[in-house]
Amino acid sequence: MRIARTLAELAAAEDEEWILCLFGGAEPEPDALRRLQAHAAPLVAGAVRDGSGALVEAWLPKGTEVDPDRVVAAAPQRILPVVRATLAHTLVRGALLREHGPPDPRHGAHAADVWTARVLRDEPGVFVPAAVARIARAPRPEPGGPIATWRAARTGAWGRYEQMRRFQQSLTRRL
Amino acid sequence: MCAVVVTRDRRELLEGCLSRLQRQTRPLDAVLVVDNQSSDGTPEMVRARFPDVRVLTLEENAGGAGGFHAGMRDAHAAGFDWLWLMDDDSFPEPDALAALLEGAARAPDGEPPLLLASAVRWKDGRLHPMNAPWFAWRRPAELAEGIRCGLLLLRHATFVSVLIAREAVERHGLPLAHYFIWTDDFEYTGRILRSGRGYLVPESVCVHYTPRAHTPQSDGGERFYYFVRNSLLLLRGDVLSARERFHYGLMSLKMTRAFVRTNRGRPAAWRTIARGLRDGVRDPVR
Repeated sequence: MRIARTLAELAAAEDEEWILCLFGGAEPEPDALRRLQAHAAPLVAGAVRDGSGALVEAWLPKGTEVDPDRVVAAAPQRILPVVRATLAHTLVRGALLREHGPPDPRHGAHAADVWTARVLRDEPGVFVPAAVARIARAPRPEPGGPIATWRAARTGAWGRYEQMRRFQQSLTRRL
Repeated sequence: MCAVVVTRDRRELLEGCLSRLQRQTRPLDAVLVVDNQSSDGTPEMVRARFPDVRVLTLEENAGGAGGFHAGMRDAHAAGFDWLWLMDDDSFPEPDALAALLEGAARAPDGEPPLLLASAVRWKDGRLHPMNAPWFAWRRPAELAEGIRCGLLLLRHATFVSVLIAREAVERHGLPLAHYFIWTDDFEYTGRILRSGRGYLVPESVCVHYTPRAHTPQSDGGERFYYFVRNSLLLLRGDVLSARERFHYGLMSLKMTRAFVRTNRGRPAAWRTIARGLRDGVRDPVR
C-alpha cells in the first residue's frame, strides 16, 4: 500500500493494490487504516477532525444519490454508502486507477469530486466516520475557478442544479 | 410514553395495530385511539378487545392531520414525555419502541433528539415509498456524527411510527389540522427538524400495511387535491429554506405530472389539480 498526498502521487501509484489518499495534510489515527480496510468497497472514505475535535465539513463525502434502502441497510454497521467523496482521507483500490485513469488536474478543486463520481458509478463507496485523521487546522476551502468548473461540468458528473451552484460559486468566489 | 393511533372505518387493521402495541417488549404507559367518526363499530371493538385503550372520538372526520392534532394535544396535556404516532395500518415489530428509545440513548452528544422514526417497510420488506425517509444531507457534519452512532439524521419524517418528544410540542406546537391528509407530517416534522435533531433508527421497524406500496400520485383520485393544496401551503410557509422550496417545488411538479399520466389526462384529474391550486393559494398557511 502507498500513501498519496497529491494528484501526481496518486497518478503514479496505479500499480499498487491500495492507495491511502491524504490530500490536505491530515494524519490518520492509529486505528484509522484498520477501520477503512474492514470494508470491501473499492473506495472507503474516513473523516477528518481538526484541533478542536470538530469534523472538517468541507472534506466530508456529500451527495444524495444513493438509494435510501441501501443507506438504511448500511446504518447498523455505522457506515454510509456514497457516490462521491473527497481524497482528504480515503482508501482507494488501485484497480480504479487502472480502469478509469487518475483524477484530471485540469478540473482543479473539483478533481476529486468528478473522479469519484465516475469511478463509483457502478458500485458505491463507503464512508466510515469512525475512521479518523487529524489536522490541527484545515485549510480554507476554495471554490473552483470558472474554467476548471466548466471542464468539470462537461464530464456530466453533476446534475443541472449542481452545475448552476458550482458556477455561481466559481464566479462569486464564495462557497 | 403514549401511543397515538388515528383511525377511521378500518376496524380490522386497527385491531392488528393495537395487538402489536400490546406485544411491545417495552410496554407502553398508555394508548390513545383517535376515532375520526368511524361507522363500522371501531369504538365498540376497542372497548371490548382492548379495555385499557382510551378512545377519543372526534365530532367530525378531521382527517389524519386533525386526528394527530387532537391526539397529541390530549396526550401532551396529560403529561406524557414521548408521543408515539401512527396510523391504524401501522404494524410495529415487537421491539420497535425499545429500539427507538435505545436510539435516543445513543444519540450524539449535544442537544437530545426531538424526534425518532422507525424504518417503515411494506409487506415485501422494502422501504415503503410513501414513507421514504428524507435525510438531512445539508447538515453533513451532524449526519456523520449520527452515522457514527448508527443513526440517520432526518430532515422530515412521516407519521408512521414516529416518536415525538414533549419538548418538540412545547417548542413547535401541534400538527396543522386543516391539512386534513397528506403533507401534514412533512410540514410538522420539517418544522421541528429545521433546527432540532431527529433520527431514523434502523433497528426499529414498522410495517405500513397498505394494500399496495403506493405514493400520492399512484394512490391518486380526488384525494390528490390535498397533495396539491397542502404542497402550496407548505411552499408559502416558513418551514422550508429557499433551496428546499426550489427542490420541493420541482418534486411536486413531477408528482403532479405523474398523477396526470396515471389518470391519462382525464378532465377530472385536471379539475382536482385546479381545485388544489385554487385553495392552496387562498387558504391560510397556519
